[in-house]
Amino acid sequence: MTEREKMLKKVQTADFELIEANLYLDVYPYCNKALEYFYATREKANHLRNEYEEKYGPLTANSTKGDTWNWIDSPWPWKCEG
Amino acid sequence: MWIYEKKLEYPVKIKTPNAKLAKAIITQLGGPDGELGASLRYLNQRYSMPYNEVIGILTDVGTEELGHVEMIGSIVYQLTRNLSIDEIKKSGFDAYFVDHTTGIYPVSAAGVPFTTAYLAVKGDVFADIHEDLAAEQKARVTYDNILRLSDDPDVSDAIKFLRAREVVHYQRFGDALRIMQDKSCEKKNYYMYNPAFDKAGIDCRDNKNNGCGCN
Repeated sequence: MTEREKMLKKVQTADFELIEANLYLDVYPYCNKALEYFYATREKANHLRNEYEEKYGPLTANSTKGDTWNWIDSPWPWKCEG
Repeated sequence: MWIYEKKLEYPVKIKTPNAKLAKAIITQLGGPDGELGASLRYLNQRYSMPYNEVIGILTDVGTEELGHVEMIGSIVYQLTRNLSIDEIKKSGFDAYFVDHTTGIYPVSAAGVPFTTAYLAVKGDVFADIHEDLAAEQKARVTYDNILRLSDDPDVSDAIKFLRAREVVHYQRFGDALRIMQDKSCEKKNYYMYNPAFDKAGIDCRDNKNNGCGCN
């Protein structure tokens, strides 16, 4: 696993935790514990995402920064074969 | 609206191409219990759904299924790269290859093209959620069958993740069903009316006379 993949895995893991909490909260909207978990995880996920994007480029077209349109430069997800 | 994220929900990293396995797994893209059908089924069922919790779960599960469409596409793509003509012939991939080369096209394992007949939107809240509960179980069984056919740990790892998601979605649709039953004005017979169409009796917990005859 490359350094980029290791860091991406961290973003994927945090985002996955968010998806799980999101689905749970849809049907248990008054669960405070789940809501607290969601907010804490979101903070962690945002931090990891910023760290990744700073180093390896944008994860959404919207977060592209700099002098060139580097959205299309980083590898597309299906291209990361073993 | 949807916004694309340049990452898979769970990594797909396959070392060894295997066209025979690709031919089976593509059914989770374009087959009767595949991810494409699942996503479109849930996202289209949302419009007539009267309950916010259930609209929420249909939206968010439908969105996650779009991510699974991309994971299956990635698995099939990685399993069919750098194939020789000899391998294509031996693996039985030639029937797909002649029409689509190694492009990703939604078909079932038997080569039947994707059809919207797989979707099932009945416009009745109980019929639709029961459809979704069954759909998650059927997709789980398909992944179990793929795991029986796969001897590649790289492939099985991603398939196990997708299988586990079917189980979680089933739980959440079960929660949605309970919510719908709780909101129903007729506690003993949930199916006497369709809250998506029969406006009277959508929610009688406010104890107003909604014309449904329950109070």
